[in-house]
Amino acid sequence: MIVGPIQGLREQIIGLQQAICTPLLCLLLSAVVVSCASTANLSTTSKLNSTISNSTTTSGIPQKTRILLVNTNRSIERYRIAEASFTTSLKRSLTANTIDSIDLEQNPNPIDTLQDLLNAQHYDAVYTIGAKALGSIDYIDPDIPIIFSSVLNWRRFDAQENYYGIASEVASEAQFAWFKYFFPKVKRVGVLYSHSNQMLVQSSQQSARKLNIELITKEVRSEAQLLDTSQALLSQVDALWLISDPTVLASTQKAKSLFTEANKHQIPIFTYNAFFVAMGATLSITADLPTTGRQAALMMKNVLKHSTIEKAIQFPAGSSITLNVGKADVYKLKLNNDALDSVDVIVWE
Amino acid sequence: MPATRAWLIRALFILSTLGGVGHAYGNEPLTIYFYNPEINITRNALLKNTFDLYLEALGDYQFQPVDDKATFEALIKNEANAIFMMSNWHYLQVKNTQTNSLFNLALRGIKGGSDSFHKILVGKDPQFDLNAMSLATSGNREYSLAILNNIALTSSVKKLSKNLFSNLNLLTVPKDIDALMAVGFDLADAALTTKSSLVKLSTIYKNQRQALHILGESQALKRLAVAFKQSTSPKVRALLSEIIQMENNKQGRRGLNMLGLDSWQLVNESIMQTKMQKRRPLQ
Repeated sequence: MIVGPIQGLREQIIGLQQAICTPLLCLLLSAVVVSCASTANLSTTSKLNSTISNSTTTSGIPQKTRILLVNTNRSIERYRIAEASFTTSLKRSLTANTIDSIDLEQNPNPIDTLQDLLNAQHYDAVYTIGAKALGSIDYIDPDIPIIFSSVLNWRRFDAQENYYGIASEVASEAQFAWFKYFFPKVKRVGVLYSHSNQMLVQSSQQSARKLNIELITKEVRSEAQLLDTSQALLSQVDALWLISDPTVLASTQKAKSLFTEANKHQIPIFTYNAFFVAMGATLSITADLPTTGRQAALMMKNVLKHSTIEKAIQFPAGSSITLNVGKADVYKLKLNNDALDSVDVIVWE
Repeated sequence: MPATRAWLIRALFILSTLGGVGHAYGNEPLTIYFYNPEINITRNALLKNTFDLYLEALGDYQFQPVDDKATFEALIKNEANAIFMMSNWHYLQVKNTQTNSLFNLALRGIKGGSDSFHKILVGKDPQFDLNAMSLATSGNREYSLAILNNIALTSSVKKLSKNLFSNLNLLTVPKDIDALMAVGFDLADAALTTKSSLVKLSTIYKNQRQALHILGESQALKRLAVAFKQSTSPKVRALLSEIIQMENNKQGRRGLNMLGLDSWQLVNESIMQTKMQKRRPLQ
């Protein structure tokens, strides 16, 4: 992060680069579109970009590999970060000769577009970012390895042959380890869930036990039950673990009322998304997006080498941690100051 | 010796006040530039925010993290009136270049009473082959390979040799504990981390720690360095003294914690002493 005078300098340089490079970039893009038109009928909103790496190859990997990268929407920052990180990592590891990337943003016929591409060109593997990209490829189901990331319902692909990926959320076991690291006195953690998360909550109970944390669970059968159930739970726990649940987080209003209730009980909320810190959560543990892209690149490399992959779907290896120190102070939580060297974002009040 | 040190810090504090007043008339805030390949650059915004909160109450100072090595080295070359906070590994690289022979160390980070730490190579399988394994690390590639070379120098790890690093699959993660957990959850075969992070893991997750083996250990590595040019001004010395005082202030301690430190140790006492001796008649 460069700010202040250096940022000013960079902006000037970027401005200069844009003034010089934009016409060149337009010419290049036109050339790419023209060249692609001969191999596939692309819609005007889906342009294929090729990144060619004149590299030697690592042993075990085919000499000329060609990878198709399908991005659901490049204008969404998290998808853009995953693509950039994946591409950089793969180029550095000298495995891929060519990565063709396509953005499905505003593409009304993604399946047709991708089918045309796959018919026109042989690819060794596909990397999809986001649900639209994975869903479209899954519909075609090409007989090549598919690696995916940034998909919420990744569990559906867990046992599907040829499908590999990075889960969207940090493993519950790792989340509990971080809770314990930041707040060593927190021993009883509560979680509200609906039927759709029953399996997750059951396995999380086992994970919590390994870390000497007691996970107290309460099922919410309907939206109307949320407040009563949360009141009962909040009186029994040191912290509330908020998971992605369609009933518990059915609306912004419901979420706000849950946060108000927790605040009344002086119970901190630990969550899976930094967005909730602005609503009053004390700690969020989310996947580090650049690491997810790097992990997908490493997985791609292993798939191309036909290495044995123990876990077809991995949890993210990197965490991004947001801490609301103000909330921790208000709730008089014992914060482990040594843990501050692991924080990525701090909210002071 | 402790009495001399206490006297030095008191004198530096007086100097800082004088320097702060003088500096108030300057146009540019005095800057601490920061670059550390051992930690993830995504934390730079947080570090700036935390350090600026500490510094803004003390004078016209600012903290300026830098994303890349080349920009940081250009700043060292061109900015005489600034302070540079950096990894010791990088400090030695810069110091050894001819053009930066006047670049001097002022302070050293301290954690748990020590100015040094050890990097370790950790894995589940004592039989390892770096050529075929994935290695999770929180440092950048250049730094991580340098540390692996350092570990290879130790006699206890003869299996490591430089030529094995060329095909190494590095997985860069944001934090040392991420690297350890990556091995624990079978996302990577080995981790390059610190001894202290392994101790942290054993306190939070004993089972996972027990499954890990230390495969190699580096020599003692010095902690974070604070450096400046020889031709330094009183304002720079004043800011150095404010950095030393961080441990005495809540916001300052938070800044130190963000860097994984408890305090700073004055290393280059001779320069400070010379200046303070000159000031003695004024007191």
